[in-house]
Amino acid sequence: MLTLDHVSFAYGNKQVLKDLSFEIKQGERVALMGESGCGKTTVLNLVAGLLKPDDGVMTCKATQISYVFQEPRLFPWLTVKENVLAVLSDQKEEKDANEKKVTEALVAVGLADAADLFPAELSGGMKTRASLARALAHGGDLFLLDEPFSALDNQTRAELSAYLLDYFEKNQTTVLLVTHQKEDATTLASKTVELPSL
Amino acid sequence: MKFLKKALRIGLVLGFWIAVWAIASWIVAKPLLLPSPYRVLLALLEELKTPQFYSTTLLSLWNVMLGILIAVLGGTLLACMTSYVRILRELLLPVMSVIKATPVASFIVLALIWIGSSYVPTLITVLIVLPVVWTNLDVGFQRIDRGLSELARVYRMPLGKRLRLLIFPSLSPYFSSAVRTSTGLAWKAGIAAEIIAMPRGTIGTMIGEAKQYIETPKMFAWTLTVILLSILIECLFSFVFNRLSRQSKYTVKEESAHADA
Repeated sequence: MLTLDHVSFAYGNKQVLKDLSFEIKQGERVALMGESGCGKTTVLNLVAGLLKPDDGVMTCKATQISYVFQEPRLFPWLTVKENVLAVLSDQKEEKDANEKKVTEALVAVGLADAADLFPAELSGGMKTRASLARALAHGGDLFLLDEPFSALDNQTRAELSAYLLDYFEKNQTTVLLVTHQKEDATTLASKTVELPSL
Repeated sequence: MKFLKKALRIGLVLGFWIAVWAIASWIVAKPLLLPSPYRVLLALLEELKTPQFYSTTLLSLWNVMLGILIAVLGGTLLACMTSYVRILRELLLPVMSVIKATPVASFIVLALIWIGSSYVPTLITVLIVLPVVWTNLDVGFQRIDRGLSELARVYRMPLGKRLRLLIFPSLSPYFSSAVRTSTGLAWKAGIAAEIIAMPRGTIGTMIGEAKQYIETPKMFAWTLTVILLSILIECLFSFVFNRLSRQSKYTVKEESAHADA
């Protein structure tokens, strides 16, 4: 599903990744770990196509990617429900199916009652959950998760971890997860890749 | 009650300044230099009785509004282009700076030589408004949230959706601010162009003629007409923008946006 072969990347003069190689098979869940600034988010951005490697080859066979960014990245002028709907197709014939997807995703993250609220009316944790709901409603064969539980309390974190694990196993989703928490890595991922600091 | 209070406050402020004007004209005691508000009102009422007043006002309104429209469309188009083509922005920056710094009178005289008096007011309005619209929208384009743009790319939002959900709402405060700011400037420049170019049947020409014949109250009456028209158009734009932002789901809820920041 995803192969990084001797990939290097630098922000100007600052080398972040050098000769990074790893492979993720279809349905595999991998946790990327390492010190702050070692390039974990850069790897996700490369996979998402937001950055291009300076050197090396990256092959991604995913047809649809969902990305939960480190920050919630919600449109401030849209409600929670509209934010989730924003990443779904506008086709009229899919309207009912999309409404159902949004409702299911909001229920899953515990935001069913906050569907009509604007981002400014949400707490940090609720915003994170809204961005998770957006990814869940969008679906896809590859999920990129950048510290998705960082703003959540322990109970919500445990509940959401269990839900996501179930969702990923059911849908055979490939997952690339960035986390600092060993607990998240062991719960959600089947393999860990440790990034070196340069 | 709130509306009444606001109206009363505006009325009191207006009353204060009209009183200052009346006292000043009484102290000067030379109506040719500074006519009293009463004399100006009489002159305005005299003008209002003539059909020429309405055709003159309409022609000046047309000149200025056409200039604003062309400048808004041109400025928006240029801002779209410069936000994507950096070199074009670099090329345009000095041109806009020169336009902003050049005295309006110089442009008017040049335009008079190049295109004749009829089109000068519209051209001058365009020259004054276009840099304001372009500058505002250029900043607006640069301030579009990069995180949200990346989100749109990752989730493969089609262009129409990006425009509707991201670009238009992000630009709307800059656009409305540009149009509101430039309305007053447009009237100032447009009427100045009419005074110098003297195209037939315009407010500027009437002011110019009043100056030639030292009809100061008439000059004040036409100036008052320009001020009222400018305020009216600005209020109209504010009303339209407020209405649009209230109706559109996709416009920044300002309080929400600030709270989020």
